[in-house]
Amino acid sequence: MADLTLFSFQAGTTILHHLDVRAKTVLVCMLSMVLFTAGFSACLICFLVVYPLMCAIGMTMYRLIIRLKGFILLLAIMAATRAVTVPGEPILSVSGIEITRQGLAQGSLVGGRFFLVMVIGMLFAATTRPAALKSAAQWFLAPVPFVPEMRVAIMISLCLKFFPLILSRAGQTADAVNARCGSFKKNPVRRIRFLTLPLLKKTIISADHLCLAMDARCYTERRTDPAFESNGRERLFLGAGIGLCIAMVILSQESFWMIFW
Amino acid sequence: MPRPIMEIDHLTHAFFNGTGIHDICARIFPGEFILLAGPNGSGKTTLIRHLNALVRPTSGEIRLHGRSVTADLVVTRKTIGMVFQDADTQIVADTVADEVAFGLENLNTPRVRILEKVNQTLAYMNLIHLKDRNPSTLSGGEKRRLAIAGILVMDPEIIVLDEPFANLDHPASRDLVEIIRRLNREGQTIIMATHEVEEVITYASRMLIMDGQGRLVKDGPPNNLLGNLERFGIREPCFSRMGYSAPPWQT
Amino acid sequence: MTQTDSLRPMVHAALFVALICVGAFIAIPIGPVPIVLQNMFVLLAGLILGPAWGTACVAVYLLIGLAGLPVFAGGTSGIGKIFGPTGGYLLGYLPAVLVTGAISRFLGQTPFRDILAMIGGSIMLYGVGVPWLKLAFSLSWGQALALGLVPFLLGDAVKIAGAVVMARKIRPLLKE
Ligand SMILES: Nc1ncnc2c1ncn2[C@@H]1O[C@H](COP(=O)(O)OP(=O)(O)OP(=O)(O)O)[C@@H](O)[C@H]1O
Ligand SMILES: [Mg+2]
Repeated sequence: MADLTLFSFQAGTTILHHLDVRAKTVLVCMLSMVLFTAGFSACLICFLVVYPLMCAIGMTMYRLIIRLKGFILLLAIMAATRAVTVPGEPILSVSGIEITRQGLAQGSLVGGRFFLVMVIGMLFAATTRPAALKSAAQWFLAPVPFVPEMRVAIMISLCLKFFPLILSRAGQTADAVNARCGSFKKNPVRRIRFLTLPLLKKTIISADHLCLAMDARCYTERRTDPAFESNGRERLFLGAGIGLCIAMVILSQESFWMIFW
Repeated sequence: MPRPIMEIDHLTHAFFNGTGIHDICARIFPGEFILLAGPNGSGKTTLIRHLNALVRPTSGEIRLHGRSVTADLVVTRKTIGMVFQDADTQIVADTVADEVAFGLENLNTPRVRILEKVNQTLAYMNLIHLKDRNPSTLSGGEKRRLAIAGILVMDPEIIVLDEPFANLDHPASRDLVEIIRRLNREGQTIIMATHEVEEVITYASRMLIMDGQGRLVKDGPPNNLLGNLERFGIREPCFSRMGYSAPPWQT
Repeated sequence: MTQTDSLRPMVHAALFVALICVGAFIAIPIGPVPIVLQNMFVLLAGLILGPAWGTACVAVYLLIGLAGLPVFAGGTSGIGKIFGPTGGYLLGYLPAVLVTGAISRFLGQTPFRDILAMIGGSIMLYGVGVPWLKLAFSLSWGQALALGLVPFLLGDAVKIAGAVVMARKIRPLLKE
């Protein structure tokens, strides 16, 4: 259960699954950055590239919308506020509130960009093992000064370990409290306390045991470097990704469209 | 007589509330299978945690090959592999393979060697098919085997197990006994703390019994102690209670 | 003396990262808006881990969310979420935990001072979150406050009260 909620990773054998996680990270970052300034046509092209990959891992539009419904609602509201606040040529006027063409265009563009960035992030998460993510974090942080990358990596891995432990204990705690009719009094502070305090105590004790267990296995911060899985197509993908980004940047320049006027 | 691997020399650890362990002396020889028995709270866990210097004694000393265990912690902890009482909280990594690799990574072993040893150990412990699973989704028995694999991979000289049968059903316990027996037959020294001696007493070569005050009260071959166990707060194995000697299929 | 001494704060920080993640999933119904315990764990991390480890803890949380594990509210993740309209509330966790930790370290640890520290942290959190929201939705200040601050005040008061009780019970466990 805990696995389902935290790890959106879906085991599979698609090309994205076997791509080196570092190449994937670079691609995601590049695309996201380009997207934040992308115009309509660039967004469309990006979507056309991303959509087949989504289909390949079985992420249909319908499931995506169900999964992201809260976020999509937020984006819609954001687009709507743009539509009414950006000044321009009015196309519709309802009881004094004017929807402008420029506003609508800007609003839907901003919403669309965020949606795409979100989808790309989900593609990445769905095809990357948490363990590989941790190794990538370590690898990318290594050259950054003052960041102890080994420690970050081990913290991520401990967090991934604690998460299911806490979730299952949270379930047990709620059951135990209910069984003693302790909890569902009206006072919310007491409610928080009864639910979380036993949980915290138990997990802190587990944390102490974990420290001992790590010590017992010679834990140090200078450890063997992580290994990365790779399918040999990283250059191809990076090349294609850079190409896509350049195309998107060009398409987003207003001067580009001037050629056709 | 062979040289002992480990010497426990007048070891005392007093907690502020007066409990603890008192004046424990013992020597551990290669190839032994030692059962450390005693009722709840007799100090088995406390004693065991001194063996690899996770806890420091109030007085006394433990020597490993003649040197104090606190002299070189890495060597001590590599030599003495420890499986803890609670399987859930000793698992560090998020996949089975990574979990087994954890100790070797700490020793800075090259990656190629790690992969080789991890695969070998997983196969030995019959876990290879679970390689990529998240340890939190394993069964109790599998978790226990994983914990053993995680220390076995470091080639310890002594394996210490604290209550390995806690939370295991009968078949899983039998499996575990088989694994431990196999390790012992292959020359591995084993120390096992438990208050349920029934499953293993016939395989152990020596038994240490602690009393409720944290003192070591008996030290000898299990056969000599059989029939007297109830006196020390340990449940007598079924066969011995009924007045038989160890059944032939268990020896 | 043993290595455990340097290991423990890190393991505890990792524990709080996990708690903050779980906090996004535990909702307690109070009044019309169910409260999520996430920001309570952030403030609690400041109180208990102190400014340095607290900040490290939140940074790692943001990092794993950024990397794509669905640990933000509603099981979302990614750059899109951090720079999205409500991203200010996520990035605001950083100054929030830092300020809570620093005030608590500076003033000492009594229930009253804990409350002060957490109020300071909350101010930092909304100080980043509300202007961000205002920009994203191009709202007026009044609207931004009405949408992005007022609805949470009651829940936050409850959470701070809960956190004070918890901090008192948990600190001795971590000390020994
Ligand atoms: N950190 C501690 N502080 C104070 N007393 C402790 C501490 N740890 C253990 N004790 C006490 O020391 C005694 C021995 O405990 P220990 O856990 O070693 O027993 P045990 O034989 O392993 O018991 P069990 O069979 O329940 O595992 C107990 O009375 C216990 O209360
Ligand atoms: Mg014990």
